[in-house]
Amino acid sequence: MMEISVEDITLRVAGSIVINGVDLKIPDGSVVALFGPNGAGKTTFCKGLLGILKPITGCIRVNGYDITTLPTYKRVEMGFTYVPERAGILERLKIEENLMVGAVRKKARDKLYENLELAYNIFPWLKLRRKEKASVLSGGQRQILSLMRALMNEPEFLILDEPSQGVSFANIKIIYETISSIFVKEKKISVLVTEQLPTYLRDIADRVHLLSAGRIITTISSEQLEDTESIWKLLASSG
Amino acid sequence: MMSVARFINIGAGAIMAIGAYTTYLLTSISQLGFLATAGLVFLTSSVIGLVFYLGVNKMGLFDQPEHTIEDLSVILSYGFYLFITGGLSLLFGARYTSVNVKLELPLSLSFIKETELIILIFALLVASVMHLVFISNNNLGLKSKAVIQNIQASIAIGINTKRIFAIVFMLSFGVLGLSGCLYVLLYPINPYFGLYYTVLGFVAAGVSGVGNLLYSFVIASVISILYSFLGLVIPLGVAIAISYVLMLLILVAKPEGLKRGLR
Repeated sequence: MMEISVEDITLRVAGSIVINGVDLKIPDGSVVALFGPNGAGKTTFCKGLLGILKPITGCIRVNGYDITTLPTYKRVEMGFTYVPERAGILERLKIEENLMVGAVRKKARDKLYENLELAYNIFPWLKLRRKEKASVLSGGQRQILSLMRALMNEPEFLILDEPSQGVSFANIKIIYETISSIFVKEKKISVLVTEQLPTYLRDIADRVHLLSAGRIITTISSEQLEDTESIWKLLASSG
Repeated sequence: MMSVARFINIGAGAIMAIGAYTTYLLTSISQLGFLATAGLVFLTSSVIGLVFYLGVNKMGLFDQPEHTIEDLSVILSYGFYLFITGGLSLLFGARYTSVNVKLELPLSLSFIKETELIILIFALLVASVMHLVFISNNNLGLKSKAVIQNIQASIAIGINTKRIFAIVFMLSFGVLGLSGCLYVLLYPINPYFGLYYTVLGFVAAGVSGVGNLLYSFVIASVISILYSFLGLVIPLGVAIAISYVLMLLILVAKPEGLKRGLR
């Protein structure tokens, strides 16, 4: 069980404030989306949650405990698992090595080969190509590999940073179906997903926060994402 | 090895000298056999490596961008080299000193000298440990490979990169200290004898591509053999100069090294 609470967090990158006083709650087992244009601060927020960036103000709590000062590796040991934008795979490692290196938590290392087989069952091409360098994969395949690397870590809180970026529409569908079936329905873990494509969020998100210029301007339900035009107008007027 | 942490170490010679003089001290004041001495030298050098790592980490070196770590590491390791070799000169003088080591091999072979056999055994031991830590797919090996390739991505995965760096520094210093200990089996020592090996390591890493451990090992072996043959016909200084020119020519043609390294 993992309930995340972000309170009044402000994050700075290279001297500029990119996230400004953001409050956000991710209840246990829910999927929360951050929707916004390029430069809104989505990736910065993810890095702040993971502890890669240290906040200037505010705090992050997990089940009520303040984890604001915890380093990234300790958050990952707790169950935080990050799928970065453009996948963030290790290109010179083999596909199988990329999967294995994702098992960082102690409980994940204990189930290493079990989870490896699970990943191979979900995407059999990963097994067929396991000895190939990850650099040969396409954008969509890299994203799938990154998602399966996250699976290897027995995640309890998954942070997905724009999983559709640089991926073909056919693969975006596969990626979101995997997120929905494996992580949300089967594992029932908490998920934060950032996006700028509303289409696939509708089927997966419980709540959608609209992020513009480092602030959450409003929160909507996933059904309200149907009205794409007014959402973009709202984001444009607040940016 | 230290390129895992983006640390370009041009102070390797000083660590070898530490190992050699620790051997000298241990054999002078105690009746320890060579294996125990080598173990203690490895341990001492590793602890110095850990202290050095903690010092540069405290200075915030590893919070800098990767290229800044590389630039600053050259200055820091050169400062370390000057400090250590200067200190050893003050303590022991700059003259060459022979070290009497008690060898205790349980067997003797007719086709190889005792000293050569010991060096071979240690080389194989070090290569096995390196394989275990940096090349094999165990937990530490995988993490090391990830960190060699991309520090930021490794942090995002959840790898404790600073623990990996600490291990790398301890192992690097330990192995260099051990090589200083083995050196005394063959030659007399002075505080500056390690400079030649620093050059060799620098050329090997530069030519092969920083962060490419296996390739660096192969290149270093090839260069060592070439030096040995060249040493028969030309002075060693000239051979080193030739290797520098060759390195520059290779880097002009392939700035990332023969095999793509970190960049």
